[in-house]
Amino acid sequence: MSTVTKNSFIKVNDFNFWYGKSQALFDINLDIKEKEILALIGPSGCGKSTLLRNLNRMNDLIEGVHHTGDIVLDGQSLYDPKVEVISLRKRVGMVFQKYNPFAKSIYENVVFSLRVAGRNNKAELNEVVERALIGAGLWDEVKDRVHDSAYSLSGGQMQRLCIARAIANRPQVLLMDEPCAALDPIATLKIEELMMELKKDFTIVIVTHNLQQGARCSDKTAFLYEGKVIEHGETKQIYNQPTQQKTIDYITGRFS
Amino acid sequence: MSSSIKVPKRFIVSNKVLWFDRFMNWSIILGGILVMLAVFGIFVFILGEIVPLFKKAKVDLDNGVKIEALATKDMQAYPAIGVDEWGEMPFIYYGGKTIRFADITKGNQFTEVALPITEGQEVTSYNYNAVLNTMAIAQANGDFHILKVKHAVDFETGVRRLTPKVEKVFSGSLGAHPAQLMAFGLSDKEALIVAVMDVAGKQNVTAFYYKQSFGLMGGGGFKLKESIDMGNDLDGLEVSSLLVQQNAKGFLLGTQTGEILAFKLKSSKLVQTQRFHPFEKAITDGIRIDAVLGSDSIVVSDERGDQVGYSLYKQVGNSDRAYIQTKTFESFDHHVGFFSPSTRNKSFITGANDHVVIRYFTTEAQRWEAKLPYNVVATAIDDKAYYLFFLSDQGDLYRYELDDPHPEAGFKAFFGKVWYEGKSEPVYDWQSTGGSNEFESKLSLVPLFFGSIKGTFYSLIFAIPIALLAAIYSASFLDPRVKKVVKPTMEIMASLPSVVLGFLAALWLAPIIEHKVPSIILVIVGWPLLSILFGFVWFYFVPIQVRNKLNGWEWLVLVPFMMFVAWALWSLGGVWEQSAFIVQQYNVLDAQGQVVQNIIGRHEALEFIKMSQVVNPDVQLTMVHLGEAITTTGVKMADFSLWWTREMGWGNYDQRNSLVVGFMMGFAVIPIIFTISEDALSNVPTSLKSASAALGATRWQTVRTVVMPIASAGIFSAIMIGFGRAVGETMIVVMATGNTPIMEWNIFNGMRTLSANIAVELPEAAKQSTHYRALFLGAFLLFVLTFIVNTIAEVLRQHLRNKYKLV
Repeated sequence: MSTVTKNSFIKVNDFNFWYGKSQALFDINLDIKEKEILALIGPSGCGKSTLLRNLNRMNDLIEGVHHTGDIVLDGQSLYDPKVEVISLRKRVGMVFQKYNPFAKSIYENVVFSLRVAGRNNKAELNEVVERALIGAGLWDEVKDRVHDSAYSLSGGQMQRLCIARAIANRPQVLLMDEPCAALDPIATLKIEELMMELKKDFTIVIVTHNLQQGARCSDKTAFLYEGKVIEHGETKQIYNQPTQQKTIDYITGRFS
Repeated sequence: MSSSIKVPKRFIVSNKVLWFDRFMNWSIILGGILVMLAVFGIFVFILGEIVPLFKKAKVDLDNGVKIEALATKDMQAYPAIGVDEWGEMPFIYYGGKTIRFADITKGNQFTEVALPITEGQEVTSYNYNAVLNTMAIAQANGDFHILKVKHAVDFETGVRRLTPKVEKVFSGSLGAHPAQLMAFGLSDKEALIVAVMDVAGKQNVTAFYYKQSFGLMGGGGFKLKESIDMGNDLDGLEVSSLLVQQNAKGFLLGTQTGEILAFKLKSSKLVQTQRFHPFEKAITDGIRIDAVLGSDSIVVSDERGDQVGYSLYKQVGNSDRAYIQTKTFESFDHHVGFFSPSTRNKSFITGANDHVVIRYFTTEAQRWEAKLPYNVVATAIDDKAYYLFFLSDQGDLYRYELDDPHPEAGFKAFFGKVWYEGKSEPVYDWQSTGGSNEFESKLSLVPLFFGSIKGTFYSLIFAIPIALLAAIYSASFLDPRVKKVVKPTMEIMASLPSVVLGFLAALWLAPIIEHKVPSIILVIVGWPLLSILFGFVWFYFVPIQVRNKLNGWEWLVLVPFMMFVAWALWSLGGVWEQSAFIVQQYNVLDAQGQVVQNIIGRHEALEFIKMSQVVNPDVQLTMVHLGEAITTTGVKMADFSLWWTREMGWGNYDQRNSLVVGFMMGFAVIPIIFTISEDALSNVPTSLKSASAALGATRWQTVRTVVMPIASAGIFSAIMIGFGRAVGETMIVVMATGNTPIMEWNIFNGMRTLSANIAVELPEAAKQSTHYRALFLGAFLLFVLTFIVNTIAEVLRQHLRNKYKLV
């Protein structure tokens, strides 16, 4: 995979982050190239989700957080006081660990991001629904019942619906926070296949506990431990020739 | 059995744990059952209090007491019978020199009491008034006597002993002619005696007006003031019945052809006020006119057994009251032969031959009905209404126990429109108690129910928007650190004693509002509009850096701004009043352009003209063009309440009104709706809020499209609980509504709610009385109202919950 020609798309520079008084991230520096998949791995509580949630400033919703350093997306600082968080989040889509469709129809779930942006053109919405559901690999399964409640779907379908919802407005970046944690192996496989498809259009950052999954579907991997990036590089290199003892311990299963 | 299997000790739960578990289980079950029993018990108690209201009267016909041959069979057609207040010593009079008393306890032993009347003269006419216990007797030489029948009580023998007595109140002369008919009205100060006399084969009606002179030593006896001979006024009509109003203010003549002539005593002159036919069909045998308790209502019966009720009512535009038919009773199909009014309420016993009924005048209700095995010629009822007495045409007297504690009650009395004495039309009215027995209690619960709804409505339209918006703001916009302070504060507000709120409303808020209505209107309308404007300015003109910085703290800017706006609008109200709410003085002119009257307020002036036309139809011609008849005098003043009432005529303006209640009860309800709906909004899963935020929705979009639908069931509950609180709220409405049971939606007058009514009147209601039970009926109505509303609410809530159910 030739990633050399690609520009750096997301840059995390000396990023420190605190929940109240406890520091969760320490001097994070990361470089994410356009249209590549970065997998964040590491044991529970190492800060990978925190880092991910900073990429679209979801952590703003949490009380008493603060940070130092900066994250730059496509040349623009996320923490610039002039940034409109709402439009930032339109650029960075997110899929959560536990599927969380709205109590609406499948159709309305998908077009939500367009509706809140004030786009209500029927033809456009129909087209977006079809494209997003095809993109999320759900179209064939639900095309006859897009106006049914989203809660009529199975767990794996709901998670793919959430992906469809996230990609409906074509964000530049897609953040996935353990998207398969609540799914069975078959649904997981489908999502993984989907990620390979999505990579063609989106830059993806995925948090995963599943090392095989990380190895299978990412280009780059960053190993985080106790809020610090221990090792960051090509996925093959991290899994085959890790340089740090901690990485070796983690990958070989000494701790998790 | 299992005892053979050895269970390792570590798997055995200790008995202590098991017993405690069982104990707690049963305690909780017991608690639940007790709660249900308590609610059920309250329900049963209330039901027990109100059921007797809807029971008919009962007369124990099987266990009567019979006194044989109290009268001889040749008695006159209308013997007078009466009774003492215990129903023990009835008496009869049908002419002659003595009254015959019987003692129920002793059987057929009679006591004859001699009457203090003129010796040697035949009695030609007599009339007994059971309410006054007074008899009038006219003799052949024209003498008449007003006699009081008394039952003197003593306890000398250890038990109650009654001694019959007849005392003379006063005597006089009707002239030289014997009276065919005579009747009297008697009050402390005056007496009116009317006699129909036979003067050379022609009827002559003469009224004698007596006045009691009062000296330092008390009453000085009745003196004749006026005797008015109305011989020629009768136009050759033949008088068949005569009724003098009990208060001696006037009298009625019934003619052989069924006409009624009403006369009124006006400054010592008799004026014929009315002449009418109470029955449409032709009458040949005369009509009966009888009075129910009081001086305002009469019952007229005819030869066919038809019976109707007439009451004095206030005519539009006329201060004189006139009789109008307000009641129609069921017909007897026979000549109505007897009539006795109750001396404690508006019921009366009447009937024809063996058919006897008890009716209640106000509600037209038939309280009791029976066919007796004998024909009745006269009836009586004791003062306590414990016994009924019937005199048969054989001269036997029967006494039966009567059980009718709530004659004035009934479905119509509580929920129907009733035409009360003195009212100009049938109305819903609540006025439970009056100064005397003669008072007609008005027990309609409709105005109270209306008051409850009105108070609730005005408080909820004030409280719901504020509480809901506040809850949304607190749940989804406000910085969590501030929310931690705001929410408990609101919860404390919910526990503010309502008596404090009521006190504030009545003594502090109401006087302020009274003079500041335009300011309040401005604030109510201007505040939301300006806060929306503030939102626009904030979004479009305030730099993004500032807005990002104040995320969740916007109120720091908004609150001072709104305070300033409130102050500015409040001050502007006065200016607005000066320019918009002007009351002018108007001249009302007649056809010649002469000023008839000057009146403040356009509506009042128009009303005056309307009234004048009713009173004097001649004026009508000159007042056709109402607009032209009015010119302003140029006198103006600016005052909202006068403008509202006199200029526009939109109803009264009371200081303690629905606006005040709306505000204060709103304050009682806001914390409840706020707290519950805030919880509902906050309990919407964060994952959904995050998903919405991650998709680029604004906070408001998230609330509107994601949070609100899910929280809708909870918000709905909050509103319903607020409704329940407002309906049941008592202290605030007692103190701040004026408690007037009127039925108008006018926001500037008060109301009387069911709950306030109970609080105000229960202390003065005699236990087990109709009034007392009517208050419980009000409580029951509240119970039912909340029950129905809560049921509907619960059904809707379940529906919402299913619609927006989460996975």
